[in-house]
Amino acid sequence: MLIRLAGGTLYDPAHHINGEIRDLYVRDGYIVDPEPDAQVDQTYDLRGKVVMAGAIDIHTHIGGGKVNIARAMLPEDHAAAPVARSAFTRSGSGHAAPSTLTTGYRYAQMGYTACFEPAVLPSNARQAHLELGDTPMVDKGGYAMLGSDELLLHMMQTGADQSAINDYVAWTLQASQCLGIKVVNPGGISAFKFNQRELDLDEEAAHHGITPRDIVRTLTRAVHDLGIAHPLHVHASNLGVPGNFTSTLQTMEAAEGLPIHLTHIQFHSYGTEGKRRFSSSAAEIAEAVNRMPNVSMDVGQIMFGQTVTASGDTMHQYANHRHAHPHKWMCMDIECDAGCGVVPFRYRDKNFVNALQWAIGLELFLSVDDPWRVFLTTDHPNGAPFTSYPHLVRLLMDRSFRNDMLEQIHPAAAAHSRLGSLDREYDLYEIAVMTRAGPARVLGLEDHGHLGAGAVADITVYTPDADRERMFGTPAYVFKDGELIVRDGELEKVVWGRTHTVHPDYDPSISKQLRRYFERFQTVRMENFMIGADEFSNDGHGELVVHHGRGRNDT
Amino acid sequence: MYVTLEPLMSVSEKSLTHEHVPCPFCGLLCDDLQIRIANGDIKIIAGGCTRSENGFATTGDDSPRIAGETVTLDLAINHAAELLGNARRPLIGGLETDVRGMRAALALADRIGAALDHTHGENLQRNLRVLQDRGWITTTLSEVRNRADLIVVLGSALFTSFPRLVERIFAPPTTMVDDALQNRRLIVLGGRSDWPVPETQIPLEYIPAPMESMGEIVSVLRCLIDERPIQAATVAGMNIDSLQPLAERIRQASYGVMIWSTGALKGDHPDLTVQCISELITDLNREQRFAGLPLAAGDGDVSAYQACTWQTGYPLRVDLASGKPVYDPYHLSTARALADGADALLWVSSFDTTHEPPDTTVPTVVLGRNGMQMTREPEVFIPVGVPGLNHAGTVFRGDAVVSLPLRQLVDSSLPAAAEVVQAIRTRIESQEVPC
Repeated sequence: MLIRLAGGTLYDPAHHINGEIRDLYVRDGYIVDPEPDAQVDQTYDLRGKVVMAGAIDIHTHIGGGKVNIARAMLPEDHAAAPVARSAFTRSGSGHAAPSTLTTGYRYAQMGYTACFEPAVLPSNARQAHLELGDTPMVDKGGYAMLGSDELLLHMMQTGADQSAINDYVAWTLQASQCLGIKVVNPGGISAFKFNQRELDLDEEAAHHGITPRDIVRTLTRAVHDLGIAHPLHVHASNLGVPGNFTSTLQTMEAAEGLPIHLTHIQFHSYGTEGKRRFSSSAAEIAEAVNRMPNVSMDVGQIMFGQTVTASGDTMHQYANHRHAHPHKWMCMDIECDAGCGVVPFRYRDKNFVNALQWAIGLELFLSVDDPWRVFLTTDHPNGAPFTSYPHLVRLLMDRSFRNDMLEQIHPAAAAHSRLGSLDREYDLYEIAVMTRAGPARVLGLEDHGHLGAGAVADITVYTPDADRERMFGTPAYVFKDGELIVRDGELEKVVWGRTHTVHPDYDPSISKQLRRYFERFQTVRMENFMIGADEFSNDGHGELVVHHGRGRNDT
Repeated sequence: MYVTLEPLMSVSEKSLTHEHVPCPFCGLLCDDLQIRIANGDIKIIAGGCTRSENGFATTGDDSPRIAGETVTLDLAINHAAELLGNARRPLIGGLETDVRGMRAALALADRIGAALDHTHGENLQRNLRVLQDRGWITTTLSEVRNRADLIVVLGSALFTSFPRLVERIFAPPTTMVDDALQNRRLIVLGGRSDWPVPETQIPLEYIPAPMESMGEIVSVLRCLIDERPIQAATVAGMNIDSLQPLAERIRQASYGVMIWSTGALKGDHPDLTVQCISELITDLNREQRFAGLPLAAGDGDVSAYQACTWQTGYPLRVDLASGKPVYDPYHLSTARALADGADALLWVSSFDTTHEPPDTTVPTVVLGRNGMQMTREPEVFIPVGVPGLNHAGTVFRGDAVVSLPLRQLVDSSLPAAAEVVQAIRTRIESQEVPC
């Protein structure tokens, strides 16, 4: 089956194509070179349309224990947003924490074809994959959380060499079937279990005497040595704490020049100036990112309205529980591995802090020069539900719209922000970088995020519209693996996508130590902790794709 | 053929020893069992307990029945499809199955517009109501095992429901946190004093207390901890002063844990008891660390509510009749739904032969473990395999965080509940007139 997508205007930054009219050919789920003599089975007339690769969300909490706790906790969120079944789609519900099938449908309806769950606790990874397995339409994967697990902290405390830690990190990727490594408040989730309530980057954690800086340095090194494409994914220390921009800058430096990804950096870009002791330090953060080519980031933009925050950072979720809206919240310590906290939240535009958070996120987007190193996220659902992406795109592309919005927020927040003076407007090419080509590159997904021959045919087609929110909210066509799944923003067909994981090499003798660790201390045996490739079949709906990275090279 | 009977893993009939076998017969989900299979006989060599000995024993007749008459599987599925497909207000209950079985049940419910509840639905909702109303601070089994220096068990019934709780969690040979074991104390508040508990080096104290008054007792405990004035001299027949040492221990704990299982909380409003417990724990965390551990019974209860939550947004007691999920933890209990006009019941019970459907005249299809004892012969009975014995699967543990892969241990011609439910749905869909 050969499909021709004819006459569309392509934005394909991986190939430096910026608004050129070209035909695309798709065969058996992949984009192929033009075949002048081949018989075309189907042609889509895309004249006047904008064509991009399918969008990729590198940081969205859509599967795993804490997301499901958020769902169970918020029946009111679901009752207000029921989704009916159709002849070929399933029912569901939810605005801030939608059900899995609904999540997959909505992502596809916005032109997204891949989503990555950024906080997979290895001890809860099976659940994360079960939920991702029930999330249709998109490819998916997760980042395994390390850095507050008692085993790593013990290894570091007892002076294990980097190579042994690399083996453990590689084993963790295989055991949890994840694509990257995430650290959340390095050491802080463990420290909270020992009743420590704050932990700065160079402060020793209560029990193990390890500093967050040690953990960041050790794990960035491990990820680098193992040849994993995605840099260490870092939720830095001091989330939400005024003045935290200094520890965020120090966290970048802790990587010592190795690649590092700072996630939802908006929540880590706060100063203490002004009479409210809360100010924007977006300029300092952006300056550092611009200066340090080893650093990438996603923003974690907040939007006004009701949402729920779900995080592994029990230390700060506990601290923030007094802001819960509605007033209910939970925290959980998990398996000497990590933890989670769920706090419903409503961001209000007339609240000084919330309004400034909104402005800080936009300042960051507009102040980082290189769109290849900044990614469009709301840290769904923590900053806002992912369904606000089209609105966010409009804020970035349309300065006058942005300034209209700025006039509506708390006036003191507007006055304290540089946002009104930032003239930059993202263009379609830059949007394609930050939502397609950049994420694919930073995740090492070589056949995603572009429109060249050999790419999977995940393609989104938009009808140009001066209202960018409408344009990006209602794609004309979305193709997944060459199949039409969305037409004019409506679902056409349900597909299931694949799960991506990376398996770097490790010394198999580490299994002996790990088996002993599990038998002595854990309540699960190593053999059952590890997730088998056969667990992804989901009655024919799932498939595991194993990547191998660049090859291991211990230094 | 509507049902795939091929085993996922080929198992030799000769003597074979399986290591690290997960046991799905209670919420602890121990996975350190050693099991030998010889000529179809199953022997637990290590890690056994009363519940696993019982659970792994095979029994029964593998034949499906319609109104008590033996029929082929195909006919039974046909009849079940007709009954459920034509029902106006079908209910899917029991739901004692694995994640795959639950996924199949949810797909069928969405198709036919059914309501869903679990055998332990009421016990689950008692905890969930508190999560939905106020929230809580909780922990998991490995944290308790390695970290707790104070463990307060609400009701000695937990030792019977979870036979290896002491051996595996409370009194392990080693812990990660060095001094956790040396300092550990175990306090059992309430329940019978004659529970079967293995010898343990951990200091254990038993405080007799009536389970039906646990809410009041915990409230008083909270007042004592907060040093608030209490006018009463007794609570539930207990001298209030007798709770003072417990209050003191709780206050001094480095990492204290309070464990309950809602099935063991008696009285009219166990959810309010859970709320009292949760508020006590939340208060303590202002200055120290303390966590709750609501331990679910097993029988696929957590698997059912987790899968239902991620697919529909609601943790069971959800009705899909309108084409959209509607949550009603009160009216959608199995008992109320049956009393309020449910006109067909699909009952799934694949772990325990004693978990029969409620006694009802509503036409019932039972997918049950073979050898199931039933007071009333259902319209359709289809014997299904046991996850973790007859077929592979995935189930959640009682702390609702860990899930484990179950294995097929013996060759079996019994279909998995998931396969039968899928076959019923396929049959209904094939008979539907396209609209």
